Amino acid sequence: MSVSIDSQQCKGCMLCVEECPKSALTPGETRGSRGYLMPRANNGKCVSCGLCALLCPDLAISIIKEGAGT
Amino acid sequence: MNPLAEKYFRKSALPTIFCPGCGDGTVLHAMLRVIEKTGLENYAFVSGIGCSGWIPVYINTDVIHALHGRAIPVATGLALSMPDKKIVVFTGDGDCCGIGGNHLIHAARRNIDMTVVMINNYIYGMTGGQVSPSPPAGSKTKTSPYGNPERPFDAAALVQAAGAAFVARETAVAPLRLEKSLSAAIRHQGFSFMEVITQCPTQAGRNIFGDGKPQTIYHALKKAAVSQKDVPLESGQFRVGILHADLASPPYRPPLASARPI
Repeated sequence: MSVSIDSQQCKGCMLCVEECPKSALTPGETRGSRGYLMPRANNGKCVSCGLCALLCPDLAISIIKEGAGT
Repeated sequence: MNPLAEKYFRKSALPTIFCPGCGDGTVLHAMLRVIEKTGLENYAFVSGIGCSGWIPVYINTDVIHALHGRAIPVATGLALSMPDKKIVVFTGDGDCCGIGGNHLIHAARRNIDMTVVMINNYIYGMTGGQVSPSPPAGSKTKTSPYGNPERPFDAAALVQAAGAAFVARETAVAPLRLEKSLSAAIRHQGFSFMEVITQCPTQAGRNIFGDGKPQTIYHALKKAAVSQKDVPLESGQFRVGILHADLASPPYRPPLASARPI
């Protein structure tokens, strides 16, 4: 299970960091292609609840579930 | 990018004009999830002017971007000429209650088959933070620097009094609730009104909430939203959920073209 953040779409509002119930997302130090500081995903803590992806105002987050898809 | 955005977005219009942390994108995402369940070909969108007017522009389908405050009259014409489409109007609080307030109450009175999604961010955000009809009394904005002396509009109560058959209120910080109520509003036959209270960190955040961080408004809205129906409201709180649903109210049907007056 992992969180994928699109560096082209993310505007660094960090609302996903507030929403995450497992603290799997933390403010990061890398910048996306728009120059905003992006959140960093700790995929070991992620339980793929998808709350961050639902809240993200820029639709930058997608949840990749293990074994899903091809 | 989110898979739904990949599927339905008009990629040439990206990036979105929304500021970092704006709740309009969350409403757009909720709309995409409803579209995913019901099919994009059934929809036609109309939007007014303002930040919220840009929400349907990013969906790759038919959109009319109408004049300021006049989204509902355009949607009325569309609803009468294309009765098989689901008409969804995206409009802001200033657009819907301030400039187009008259159109709102008359569309509710006529019970035209459309869904009006009013994005309430408490302020005229795009034009620089002027006072709109909805900020709480005493709010400081760019045009009310000593505190707003006026009382706010309760748009949900207004349209219910004008005869709207379906009225709901949600916040953009609870996306699952938002999707559920939006889906119910779109399913409803007749005039359905949804007020979505969103965070505007750039204008409402800096002026009304005293802090430009979206997290501040996120927590304020989470605290102020009350979903239980029987709990009395305290000062600053508002009720969320489906506030009124009259399923028996017949939607407006135009008279037959063959039935000519004498």
